[in-house]
Amino acid sequence: MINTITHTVGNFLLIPKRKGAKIQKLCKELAEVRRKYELLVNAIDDTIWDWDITNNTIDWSDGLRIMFGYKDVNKLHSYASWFENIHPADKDDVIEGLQQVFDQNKVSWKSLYRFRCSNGSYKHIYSRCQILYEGGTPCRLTGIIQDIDERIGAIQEVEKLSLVASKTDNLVIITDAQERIEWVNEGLIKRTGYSMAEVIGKTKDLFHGYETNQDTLRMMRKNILAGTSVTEELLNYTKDGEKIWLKINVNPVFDDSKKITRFISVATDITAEKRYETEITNIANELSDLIENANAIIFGTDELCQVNEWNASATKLIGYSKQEVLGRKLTHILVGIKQRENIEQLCHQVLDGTALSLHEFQIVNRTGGIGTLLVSATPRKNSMGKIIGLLVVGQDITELSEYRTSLETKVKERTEKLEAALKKENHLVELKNQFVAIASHEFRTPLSIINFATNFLGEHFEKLSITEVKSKLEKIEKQVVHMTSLLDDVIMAGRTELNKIPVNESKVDLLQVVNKIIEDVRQATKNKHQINLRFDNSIRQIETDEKLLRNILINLLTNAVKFSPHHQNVNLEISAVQGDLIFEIVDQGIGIPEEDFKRLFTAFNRGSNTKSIAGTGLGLTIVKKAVDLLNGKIEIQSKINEGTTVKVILPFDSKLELNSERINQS
Amino acid sequence: MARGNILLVEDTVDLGELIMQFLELEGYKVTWAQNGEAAIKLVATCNPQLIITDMIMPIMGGIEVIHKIRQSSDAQINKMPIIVLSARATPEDEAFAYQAGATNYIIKPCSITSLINAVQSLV
Repeated sequence: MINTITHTVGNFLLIPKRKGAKIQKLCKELAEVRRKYELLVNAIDDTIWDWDITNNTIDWSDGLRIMFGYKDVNKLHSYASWFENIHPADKDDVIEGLQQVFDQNKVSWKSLYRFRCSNGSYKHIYSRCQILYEGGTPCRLTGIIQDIDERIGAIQEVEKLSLVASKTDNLVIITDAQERIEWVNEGLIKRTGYSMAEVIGKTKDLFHGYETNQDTLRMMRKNILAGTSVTEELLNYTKDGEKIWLKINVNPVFDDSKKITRFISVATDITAEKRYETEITNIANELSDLIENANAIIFGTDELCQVNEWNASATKLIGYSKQEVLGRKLTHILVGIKQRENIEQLCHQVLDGTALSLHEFQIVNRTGGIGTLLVSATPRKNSMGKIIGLLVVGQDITELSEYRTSLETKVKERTEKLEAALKKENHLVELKNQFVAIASHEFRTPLSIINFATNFLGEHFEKLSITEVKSKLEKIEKQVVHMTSLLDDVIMAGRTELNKIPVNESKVDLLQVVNKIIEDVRQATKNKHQINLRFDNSIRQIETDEKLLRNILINLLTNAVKFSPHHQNVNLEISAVQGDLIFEIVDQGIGIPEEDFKRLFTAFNRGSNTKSIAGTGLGLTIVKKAVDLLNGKIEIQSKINEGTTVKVILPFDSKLELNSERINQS
Repeated sequence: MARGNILLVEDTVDLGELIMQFLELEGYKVTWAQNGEAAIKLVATCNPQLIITDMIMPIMGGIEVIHKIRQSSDAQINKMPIIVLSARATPEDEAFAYQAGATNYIIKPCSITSLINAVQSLV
């Protein structure tokens, strides 16, 4: 079409003007054609040219300026000026091609060459033209030039890319819009083992197999069909069935109307990485299994002491599941309120980088039960070496601890018992020693008398009168009686348990009994003292153990006399007050030092101020026992060198009842 | 003529009587005090050559009697032999008495012969 127009225009240009209506009409038509030509020329980017070989002139459209930057069209008005601007490397090809076309009388010529712009750079151009001949000789060429510089650049880029694609280790697949394989690179052929012929026309399903993730595939397809670039890791298979892991990047390619024309996939073989990753994952899984099922209690926290590890043993001991404790403060789960601060401090110590070794502390479990945990804790670090938490490995030593405590308690108990026994034993040994010392002393004097008396009788018997012999024998008998009573005292005091002593109560005339006792004491103490009795006459018959009552009164009266060496008066007052029978013995003797009061009733213990006064240290021991046996009480008041008052209170009214109980028991 | 004067200090009446009787039969003149205080009072008047004393007595015991005798300014009195006749049988008691100045220490009960022998060796 364009050729026709150009041809027509050319003819008019060459025809001289004529007058008349026809001419006028023709002129009008010409003008119309010119207008159309100019519109056309302006509408297209290409450069239009017209070469008159006969006159050697070349006309150019404005494209020359737009395309190559030449402002002055006249500069390229001749064949020479055109030829001059052809790239030197292309000149021969262009002339040769043109000559060939002319020789063969061809009416069209196409050529690719580089043409110089006004700034000296070259552009790739595509030139096409029609050739007119006159008498077999070309006389005129009319054509257009297209700027294909960009296209050539793109072609070169593709050439470069395909070179890279074919040489790269990556696997490259180009498919059409229907995902049929158009082209694959050498890398793919090598890695999969398929030949080019085997893959062309197939889909990529050729490389997929049983373990290829179908979900990933569907997702990839969905995305690329929507025109998005996708990168995924996918398991593929070689021709031999070997599994290969590929990291695949698929890019859709669009045409000018944004329609997908093909897909380009570039895949990297990540099988080795995957294998490594799987191994690492397996190891990690094994480790976490180990932690989870370990016999030891294992738990961990982040840097804020919030739990992020919690194994089965921890759950078993504390009672909370992993889900329940995750994110909670360790100290709120593990210990009672009292211990929180202490444990928090320890946690921070570990978080500051100091590992904790074999620390023992008390835990409180979910139900409030208390146990003992022995733990070691270490800080956890990230790959940069920063502490991001702590890990604790512990052992439940509750039973051990309880066992230990009970053992300690037992040892303590036994030790106490042993100490008590030892103390008792020591006391008994001491008592025995005192007994031996005192008894030996107290027995030696009567034995001396007996010995001397028998010596006397033996040596002087024939010279002695009957009265004298009798007197000596009486002395012996008296000492035997004295020693017997001493022995009774010792036996009485030596009896540690009261219920071993029988209580035999009977009706007695109290006044008669008391008078007999006073008489006995007077005789024993050589009548040196005056014993004054005040007796409440309303008391006559009482029910008591006469022997025990004698023990009480004889010992107390003897003491009163014995310990009043400088005073003659000892008072005994017997009264009945509110159902109690009261015996009060008062002397003005040496008194009892305050420090001796605590051992007043201890056997063989004697007052610190009684050294020069003979005695066994048994008197008050015997009195106390007798009073206890009669369910009574004894009160002693004393002042040094002023005298002592002893008050014995025996139950009076209730006596019968108490006695019957006792009899029933025994 | 008596063989010598002896001051006997003994609070047990029956024992004192017996010892006095024996010593008198042996020809000694015996003065008997029933406690230490009485003995110290009598020592100046009865002019004894020997004292026999018990240890444990009311008012004044044997050890005090020894001390008082040994501390006397009268050379005749403070050198006087003293026989202790004691019911205290331990070596400590004996040592204590010797330390105080006793001449002899006889533990009760003893035979009358051993007492007489001890007396005769001193008077």
